[in-house]
Amino acid sequence: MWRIFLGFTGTGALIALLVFANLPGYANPRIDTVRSVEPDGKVSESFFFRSPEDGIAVTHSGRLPLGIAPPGVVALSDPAIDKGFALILNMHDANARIVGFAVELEVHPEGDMFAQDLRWETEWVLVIPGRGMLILHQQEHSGELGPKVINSIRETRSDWIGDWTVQTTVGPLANGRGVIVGGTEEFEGASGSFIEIDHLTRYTVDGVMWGDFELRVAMEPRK
Amino acid sequence: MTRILEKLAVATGGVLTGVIVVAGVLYFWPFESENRTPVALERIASSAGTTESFFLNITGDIVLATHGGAFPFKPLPEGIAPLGNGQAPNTFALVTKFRHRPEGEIVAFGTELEIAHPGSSFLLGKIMTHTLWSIVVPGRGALHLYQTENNWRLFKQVMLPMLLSGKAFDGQFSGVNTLGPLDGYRGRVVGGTGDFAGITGSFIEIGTLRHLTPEGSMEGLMELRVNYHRSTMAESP
Repeated sequence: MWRIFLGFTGTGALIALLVFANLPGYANPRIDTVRSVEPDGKVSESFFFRSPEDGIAVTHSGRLPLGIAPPGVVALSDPAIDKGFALILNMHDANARIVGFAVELEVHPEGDMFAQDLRWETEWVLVIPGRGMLILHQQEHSGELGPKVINSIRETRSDWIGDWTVQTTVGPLANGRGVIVGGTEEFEGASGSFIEIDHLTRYTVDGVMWGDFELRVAMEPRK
Repeated sequence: MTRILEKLAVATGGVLTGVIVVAGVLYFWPFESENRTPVALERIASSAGTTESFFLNITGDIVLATHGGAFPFKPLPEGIAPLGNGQAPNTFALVTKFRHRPEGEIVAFGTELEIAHPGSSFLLGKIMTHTLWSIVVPGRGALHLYQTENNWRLFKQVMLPMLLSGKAFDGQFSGVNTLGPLDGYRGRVVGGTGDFAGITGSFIEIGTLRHLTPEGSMEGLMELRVNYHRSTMAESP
């Protein structure tokens, strides 16, 4: 009996060692997304979002013509951060597969951004399990969002429905593109630029935006 | 028949004993990183440059928190959608406000984003995540901080006893959560924008847990202690 006991004790110990060696569920299989390599070595890759279906949460001071969602999310109403804006949403590759999620953080300027063309700073962080996180920074502008969309909603008290595509990125690079700040894992030391392209089809009176959005990233070749 | 049942019982007892022995040895094994708090505090304190702390009260300063399904935290608010629509189970996202002092005014907002680290192993005393903190300070700019985080000590001293007993943790559990990637158990300043553009440096995450329930509700305090300096050329922090 002791031999059986000791033999199976060894088996139990072995099973425990195998299970404890790699924690189940901690692996992140890499999803190969759609990328293209330019002749100069730059890697181009786009990430896509659909609104409202990809939205997870959005918050701001409560003064923007956009809902805070879902119910229970805290508003950024403290005086020091009441120009802040945060959005979390799922992210797709060019084949419409979900490859992770992204966070957009903005600080809006003083003044009515829908009455005039104002600029503000935006940070994007893309989270891609199996690859890492990519940090992007851009300056965006309100441009025609006020005259074309928001003001019409305010005047008519009805939804805006249309088909409007616009590059929201205007800097900080001289050529009007945003910059890659850096990243982690596969994106550690990444550099390059990007643009955000928004395609709006509907904007409701209660502040729900319909459309699709693209972050078109161009990564410089590694040195 | 009785003999066979006896052998089966002995074999089962043997397997369980083997599992318990390994788990027991791991529980009491003195992994070096468990004593990293004084090392990390000393390393950051002795670093040249500017040191600035950002605090967040848990859960008072939290705007929202959600995950891909596999993290042991209660999403906030209840009913918020999981990350990645089931395609990113090992991810976590927190949106929070920050203060310069625990009881001070709100000065910033930002995120903590995590991906489970495949290097995690009970045999190595590592329950790890890749963690990126982004802090947006209106009027100053944004700061991005990367660390590998190890929650082995939290698991061993708080979560495991809580799960085995079914009773909530109430007390004071504190220490440095950062494991790397820099020496001295420090995370790395990835970069920044605005006033933080062009800085390099390091940081540590110091957590103080006061309450945790098996359902994932918690109370505590988190500090990000950042040490940075301006750099006109790439250099090691």
